[in-house]
Amino acid sequence: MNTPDARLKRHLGSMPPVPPATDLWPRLELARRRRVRRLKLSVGSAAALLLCVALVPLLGDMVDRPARASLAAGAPEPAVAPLQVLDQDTVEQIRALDRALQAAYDEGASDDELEPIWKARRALLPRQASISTPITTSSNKS
Amino acid sequence: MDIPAHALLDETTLLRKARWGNHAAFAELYRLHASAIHTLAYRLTSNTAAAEDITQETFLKMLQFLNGIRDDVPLRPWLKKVAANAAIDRLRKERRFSASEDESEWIAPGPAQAQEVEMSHMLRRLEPSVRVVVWLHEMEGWTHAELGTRFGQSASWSKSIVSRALERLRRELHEENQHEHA
Repeated sequence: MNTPDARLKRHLGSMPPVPPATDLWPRLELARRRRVRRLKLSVGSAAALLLCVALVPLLGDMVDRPARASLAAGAPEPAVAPLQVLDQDTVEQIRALDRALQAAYDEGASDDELEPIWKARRALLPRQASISTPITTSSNKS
Repeated sequence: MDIPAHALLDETTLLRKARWGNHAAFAELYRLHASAIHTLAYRLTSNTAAAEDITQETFLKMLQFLNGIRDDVPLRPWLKKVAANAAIDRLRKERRFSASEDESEWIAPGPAQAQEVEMSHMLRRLEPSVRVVVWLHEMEGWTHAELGTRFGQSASWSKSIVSRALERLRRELHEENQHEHA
């Protein structure tokens, strides 16, 4: 096929590649690191927020416990807490934190930088426990 | 472009690793595709600084959307689409886009010089939006409908632009061939 159109297309297609300048990769790397830093900052903030959210039901549970104990009036608490089942939302949050941890480890993050992420991850489990553990009261025992 | 199966498999692995923040995988993906993306950006803009900005923007976008990018299909078409859209957005921001169909307006001014007879120079002499439309249609397979939509015009607008630009390129190529044989 040697029509003018085909010839033209061949010419266009045979133009040599134009590789980027060698300093583009370091620039991209710098931009990527900035983005990872921003991500860490936002994960840190999110972790602090999660911690606060997790503490609210825990504190509530601590406040309610004496009242529940008096209501139970001798009824023994179960010796072993039932097996906890994580809801989908919590699983997603833990996965997101795992990804952030993985990225942070790959970036060689310090312990100080990692701690808020770990703290947020730990906080998710007690929060879940306080939500899903059934509260035993005298009314639902009868 | 044909991509061998093993390359695709490797790319799948690289994408998955990159999602987990693996730096080496991201570097390898850049190494595999940077030249093609930069070449496309340069063909569309005819400007080294703009091409580098678009290439950087494209790879940063890839990083941003790593979790949403399918890993069972080649990555390059996705990267090219991002780069082409970035070039079009740039054109529109710079108000260099002209919907005019008057040839005297859509061909950049300046006399044709002897050294500008090479294909790349012929392309560079086209008005920026015309060059983008021609390249995306002829070399990247965009349809007239896609181009029309992307430029806020009709498919027949794109058809007309491409047809007249090709005619001009053919003529210049012919003149160049005659010049060489003379």
